[in-house]
Amino acid sequence: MDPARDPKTLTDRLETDYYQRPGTLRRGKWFWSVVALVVSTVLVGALIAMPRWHSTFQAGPVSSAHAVFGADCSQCHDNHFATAARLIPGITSSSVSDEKCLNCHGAGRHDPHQTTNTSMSGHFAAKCVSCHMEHRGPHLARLSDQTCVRCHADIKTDDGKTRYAGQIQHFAHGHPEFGSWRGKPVTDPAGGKFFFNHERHLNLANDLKDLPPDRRPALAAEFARMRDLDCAYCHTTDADGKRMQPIRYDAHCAACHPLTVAPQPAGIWPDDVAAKFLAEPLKHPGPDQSPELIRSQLLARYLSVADKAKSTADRPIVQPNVLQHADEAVAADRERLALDRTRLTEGQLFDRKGVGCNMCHAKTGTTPDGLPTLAAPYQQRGRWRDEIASWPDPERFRSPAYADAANRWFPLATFDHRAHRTYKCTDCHAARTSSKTEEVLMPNHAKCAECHNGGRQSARSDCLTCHTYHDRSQERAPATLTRPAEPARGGP
Amino acid sequence: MIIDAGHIRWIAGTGLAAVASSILYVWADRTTPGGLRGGTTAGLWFGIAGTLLMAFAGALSALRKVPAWWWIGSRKAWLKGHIWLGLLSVLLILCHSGFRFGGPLERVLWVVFATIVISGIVGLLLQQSLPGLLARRVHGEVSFEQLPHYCGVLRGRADDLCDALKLAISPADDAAGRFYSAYDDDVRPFFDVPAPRRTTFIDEHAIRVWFDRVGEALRIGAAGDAEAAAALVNDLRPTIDPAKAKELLPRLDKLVSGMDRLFDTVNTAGLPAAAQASFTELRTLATGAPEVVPAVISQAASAWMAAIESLVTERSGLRFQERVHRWLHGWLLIHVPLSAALLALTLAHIVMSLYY
Repeated sequence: MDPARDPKTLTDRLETDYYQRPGTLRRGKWFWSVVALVVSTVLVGALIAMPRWHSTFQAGPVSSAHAVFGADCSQCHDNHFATAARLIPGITSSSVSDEKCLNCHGAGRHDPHQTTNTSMSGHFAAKCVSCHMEHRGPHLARLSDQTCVRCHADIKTDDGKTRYAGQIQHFAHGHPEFGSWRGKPVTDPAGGKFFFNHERHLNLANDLKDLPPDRRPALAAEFARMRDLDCAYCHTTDADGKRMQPIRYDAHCAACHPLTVAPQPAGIWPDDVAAKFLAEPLKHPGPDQSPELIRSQLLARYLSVADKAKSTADRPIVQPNVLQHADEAVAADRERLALDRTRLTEGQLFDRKGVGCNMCHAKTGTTPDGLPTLAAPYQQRGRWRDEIASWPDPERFRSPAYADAANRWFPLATFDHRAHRTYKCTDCHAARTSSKTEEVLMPNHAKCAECHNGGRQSARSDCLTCHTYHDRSQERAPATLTRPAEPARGGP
Repeated sequence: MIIDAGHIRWIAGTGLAAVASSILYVWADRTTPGGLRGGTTAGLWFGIAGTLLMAFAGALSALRKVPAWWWIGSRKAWLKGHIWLGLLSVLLILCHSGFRFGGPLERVLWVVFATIVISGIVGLLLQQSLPGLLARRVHGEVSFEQLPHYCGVLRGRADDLCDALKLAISPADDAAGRFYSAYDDDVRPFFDVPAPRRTTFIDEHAIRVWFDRVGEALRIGAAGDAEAAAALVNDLRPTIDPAKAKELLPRLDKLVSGMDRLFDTVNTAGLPAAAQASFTELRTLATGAPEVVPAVISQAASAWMAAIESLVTERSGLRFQERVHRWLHGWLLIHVPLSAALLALTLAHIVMSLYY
């Protein structure tokens, strides 16, 4: 045995009471543990004590829309410790109540028939925070498809009826054909009574390109514009570049189809008077006007040119201009004559097939005054105003939010034309082969899904690309929002 | 703790729990609107499970404070649970967070938690490899807590040997003077605990080279032993004056028998005094053969120098043990204090997350 390690000399070499004093390592562990515990406790205590540092406890920064709240958590959080109740499956309690959200956002309901996540019935279809989850990035309103699909993948309604489609997974999976809820293909209700041929008009500039300029001098410039602008000659978007502005006769039709008419009866008017009468188009009635406007214009014209007619037979009986009643008789006779001539002219405009008003408007009747009632295009009839009554939820579309939607083919979705400006109109709208007015040239679902399909190189195809949720017209100014106080600054 | 076959059941159980947790996470993440987060039902339960496992892992340090109740389980079982359930808690906390880092407090929590886990894994790996290395390189391992005392004992023995050496080789000698100076400057501090970071005696080879050079400088031969020295002293017996034999021969016998004490390099207490007395007696008895005196002294000096080298070598081994011990247990200086900080931060996270 190594004498240096002889057990008999053990006590010479080793301490026998070493276990009674802690080792350096154990002392170090205790010391640094106490230091770490104290430092972290003091740090946490300081953070809790200073409200302006409470953002430290946020799971993430608030959305950009709520950045104004800063670290003032109480602006939204009012149900303290409500989060703990979520431990029980099915309970979706939140520390942020809907009332806090509604202080600023008077958001409209979604669908009163849905049963999933329903709360605050009559105003909200779901808890605000069920979909709008804060502290998850700058965009609070930009929701994922999952938010919509969790209900629409297997829609549940209080009456068991599915109004659109029961199982929508994605735009490319389960999404119904546009407007399928109408129960029939989308057709223009004005078709057959109002006439417009897209194919004819799109080819017009080409068909008439060989027309001698001197034959139709006024149209030459319009044909050139039509060739350049193509569809945009008539169809232009609003300032946002999203929706198409209504077609107006004055802006889009009058250049080629002026409301001109020769004075009647023919042959009694001097050439200069007749030429001037023919050269000045009548003003076309607007959306809220009737053929009465035509009649009043004609009357005014005939009264203004009454003295210039050549035929003596047409001249009024001349009475001695000495008595007042004689003047009145002359005036009455002039008005009767002008009215006769006006009605004669109206016959040229209203009653001849294929020309005048009948080129576009079908005559649907006659008023007691003898004026025709003419079929108007949908824009002038408030578009779907009549059809809304047969829609699945007509009440919904009577709210101000859908006032504009009622004038659109697909009121449940939005579309941004400007985002598609790199395409030709006819890439999506089959206008070049459409000759019937009732043909609605809106692209169908399959056409959109060519690009918006969720594939690897798909255009954006999430629900929010086209759909909105809330009735934004109900948003109002904050009721109780108070801007957080500015941090105290130093003295002067 | 060595990961051996005894851990298989723990590994299998942890693996199964991890797979089940992952499946549950994927399902909950897909069915939870907006994905699974810490505040969702599944996220809260993941958080509770993860926190309980963390608390269990942290309770290991409190285990030594309680009596060894039979129902509480063995310390070995707790250590296994600490390792595997602690690792499982990482997955559960990741599931709790939805694999996100969260806000400022959560990020601090992640950093602290990750540091604790990584330091624990590093410690576990070190404990797999270093004990074997220690057993191979250090033959005379000493309890770490005993090191300061034990090294003090070694230094005391080295001092005794050095003091005895000064009697054999005078400091007046130029080379000897340099050695004694180097002894004070390099050898003695080498016995300090903790050992100086910079030292000449980095390993056994360096020590051997250093002492070989010292031996050459001091002209010290091969290590002598008590028997050879006793034989040399015995050789003086014929040179004893017969007239004084009655008086001197017992003294010679005593000197011969005292050689064992002179060459005892383990129990060095009183060695310098014994050497002083022995050398004086030797010079007295060796008047008839004076060449025996330097031969015996050389034998003793050689043995003492070898003993000092042996002590330095042993200290070198203990220094390696000291360094290995710091590696083996030093990570606890990160692991344990940060666990205390994690406790406070986790409580703050729980309270504030549920409050808001």
